[in-house]
Amino acid sequence: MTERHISETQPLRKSLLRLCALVEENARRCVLAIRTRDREGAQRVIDADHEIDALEIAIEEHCEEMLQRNTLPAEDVRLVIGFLRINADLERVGDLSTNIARGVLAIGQYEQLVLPAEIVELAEGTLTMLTKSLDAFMHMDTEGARTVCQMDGEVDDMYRSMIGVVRDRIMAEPAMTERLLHVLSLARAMERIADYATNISENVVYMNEGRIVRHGRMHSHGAEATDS
Amino acid sequence: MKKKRLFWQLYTSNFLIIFLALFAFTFLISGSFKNILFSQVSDDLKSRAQLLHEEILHFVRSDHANDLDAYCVDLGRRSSTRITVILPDGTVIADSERDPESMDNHRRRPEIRKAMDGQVSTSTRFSATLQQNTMYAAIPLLDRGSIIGVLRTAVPVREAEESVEALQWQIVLGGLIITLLAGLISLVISRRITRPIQRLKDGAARFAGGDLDFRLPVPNSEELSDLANVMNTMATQLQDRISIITQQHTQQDALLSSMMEGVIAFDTDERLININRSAAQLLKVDAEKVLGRSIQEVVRNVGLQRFVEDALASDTATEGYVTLVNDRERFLQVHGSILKEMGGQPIGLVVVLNDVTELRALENVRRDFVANVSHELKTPITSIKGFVETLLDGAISDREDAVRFLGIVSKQADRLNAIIEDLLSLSRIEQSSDAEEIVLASSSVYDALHAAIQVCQHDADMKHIRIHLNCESEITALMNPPLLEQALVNLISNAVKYSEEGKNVWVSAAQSKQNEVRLEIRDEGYGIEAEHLPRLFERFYRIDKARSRKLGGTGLGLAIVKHIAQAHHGNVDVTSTPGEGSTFTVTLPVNRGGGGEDVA
Repeated sequence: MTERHISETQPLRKSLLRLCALVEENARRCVLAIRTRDREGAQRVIDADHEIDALEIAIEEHCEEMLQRNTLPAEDVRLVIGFLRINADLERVGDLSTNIARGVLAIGQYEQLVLPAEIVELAEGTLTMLTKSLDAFMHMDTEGARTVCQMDGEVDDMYRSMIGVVRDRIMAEPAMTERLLHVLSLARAMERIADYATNISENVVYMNEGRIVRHGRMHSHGAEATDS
Repeated sequence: MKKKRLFWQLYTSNFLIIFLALFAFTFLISGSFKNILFSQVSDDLKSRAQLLHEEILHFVRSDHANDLDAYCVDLGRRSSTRITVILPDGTVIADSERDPESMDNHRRRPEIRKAMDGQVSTSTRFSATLQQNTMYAAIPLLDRGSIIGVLRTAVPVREAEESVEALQWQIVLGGLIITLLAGLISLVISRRITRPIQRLKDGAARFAGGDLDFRLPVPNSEELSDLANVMNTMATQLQDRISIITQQHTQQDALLSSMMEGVIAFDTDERLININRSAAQLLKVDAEKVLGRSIQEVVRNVGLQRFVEDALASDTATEGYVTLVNDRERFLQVHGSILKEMGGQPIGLVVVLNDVTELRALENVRRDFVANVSHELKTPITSIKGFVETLLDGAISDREDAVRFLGIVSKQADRLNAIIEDLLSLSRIEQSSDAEEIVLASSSVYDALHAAIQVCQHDADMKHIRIHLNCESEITALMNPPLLEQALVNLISNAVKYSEEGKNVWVSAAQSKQNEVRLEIRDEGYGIEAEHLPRLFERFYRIDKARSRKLGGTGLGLAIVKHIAQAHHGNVDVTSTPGEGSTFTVTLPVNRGGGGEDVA
């Protein structure tokens, strides 16, 4: 039963893992581009986004097609719903990466602008969260997913202190306001990516919890039947 | 079905055989003993009857019935035999035990009937008279050919029967004892047969459990000892083969893990079946955990995922490039070859990963160098050409312009000259350091620093920059003084160039380690951002091209410093904080051999 069940959603899972790889690579390139102000790298992030969008649509259609089949077992429905949500989250992360890359290009025009060290720190923190949430999804690791959810607070704190830093610098050098606002929007996009990483982790927990229910008790089975 | 133990099978069948043999023996022996005994008794009876025949015949012929009866009684008592005389019509005329009058007609008795037919016969049956089993023998009494009566002798067979019975009991008793003894013996024998088999079984179980160092004890019996020997040989061979396989496996593992290239093997479903250490390090995965998982579940890299898919789909070897994005980008050259069975059926894929990041970086440096050198040479030439053409077009007649233009042309020619000088000295240093032609001698560090500062002093004075020298005069290092001075001049003039007016430059030297002198040039200049630091010593690498050119740099100064330091078997390094200044450090060995490298 379990074997057949895994193999039926397996192709979908594979596509989603590929999307994970694309999104993670783009996010990594973004962080790299921020750190080294690599405009070429930023441009590549923007160029790769259409691939993410195309794959996202393909996965969504695949999910829809599976859900329309009435024969799909209840536990598979739960998985496919989880896949759908993660799919959408990943696409958003892809879009935000593009935003960041555009921001890096914009900042690149001002060679003298020294980026605050905090933005790199925030970017690294966000990237760690994203990587860990994708790891959790890859291995269906509930524990790992829960750790990611706990990390979200730290990234929020970094974002808040980032706002403070930018505000202080704007006060000190009003001429730099426009450029610093770009930095702020980078930070905002980073913080949003961290939020989506949290969403992905929560979905991993949701899908895994579905599995636990499947192995278990009578009333949970009943609940599952009404769910689907 | 539960299997019976061999021991019980052997023992019960042995026991049954013994039991059946004894039973048959008892039956046969007691039967024949009884026959022998009874035929003795009947012979005895017959001979007694024959002995009495004449006497009784006499009595019967003379018809003295009363005398006959008395004679019979007397005779019967003495010989403890019952003697009966019967007339042909069956009437008993004399009997040693009973009154003949009271006895019924004996004509129908089997022995009498036979005697009437002229035969001698015996018969055994229950006697109503004697109240026990009795054997009778009857002979006809013949008087001139005709039967005038029958003489019958009889004895009870109780004694014979009793002795047969006693014999039977003895046999049964003996039999039982023998059966018990035989049972015990067969128990022992069964044990002796099954025990070595049991040992063989235990030994074989140890073999199966992997204990191939164990050797079976060799039992006494030929068949079992052969078996044990064969099994021991088998264990030895198995051990040899396993050790060969293990060795091959270890060699293969050692080979794979010592390879610089990453190697990953996949099955046809894109699942990992093997991964070596380099590959695991490169992809940052745990080699133990990823086996059996599909590529998508192991590596989040689309390029590699796609390469594996394509390579599996294609029939020939494939080649490609994959970029890994971690802390920095890594470029991998990947080769895929399909693994095939003997029959040519594909069973998987081997992917070899080759990290070509460094190679790429070198290629980039070379490409940039060619581009830069052309650009650097082109800029002054364009300028010279432009002004010369302007002059030719008529500007030469305007003396004031002409002088100004020629001044520019001269300046650009100087610049061109400076670049070419730098390039030449760079290649000279490179060549002579490659050929190890540079003569190094132990000289005073203070003198070298002092000479270099003097060269830069004029420029520094112009910008009101103070150069501080802090070096003890006894410090020496292994150096080629003109070359080292050139490097120091480059560093100090950079420090002066990239500092604002009125700042300070500190030049110092100190022996930092046993065999190492550190020369430091520290400024309070603009500083350099961290992203530029790794490439700072590359040829023509410039942080700010316009600024550098305005200040008269060729873009080769630091490259020359690096090469000079290397020619001295030393090193150059930089730390910098934007807005606060930079520190360049040159380290030199104090004497030969101590720096780890031979100096020619």
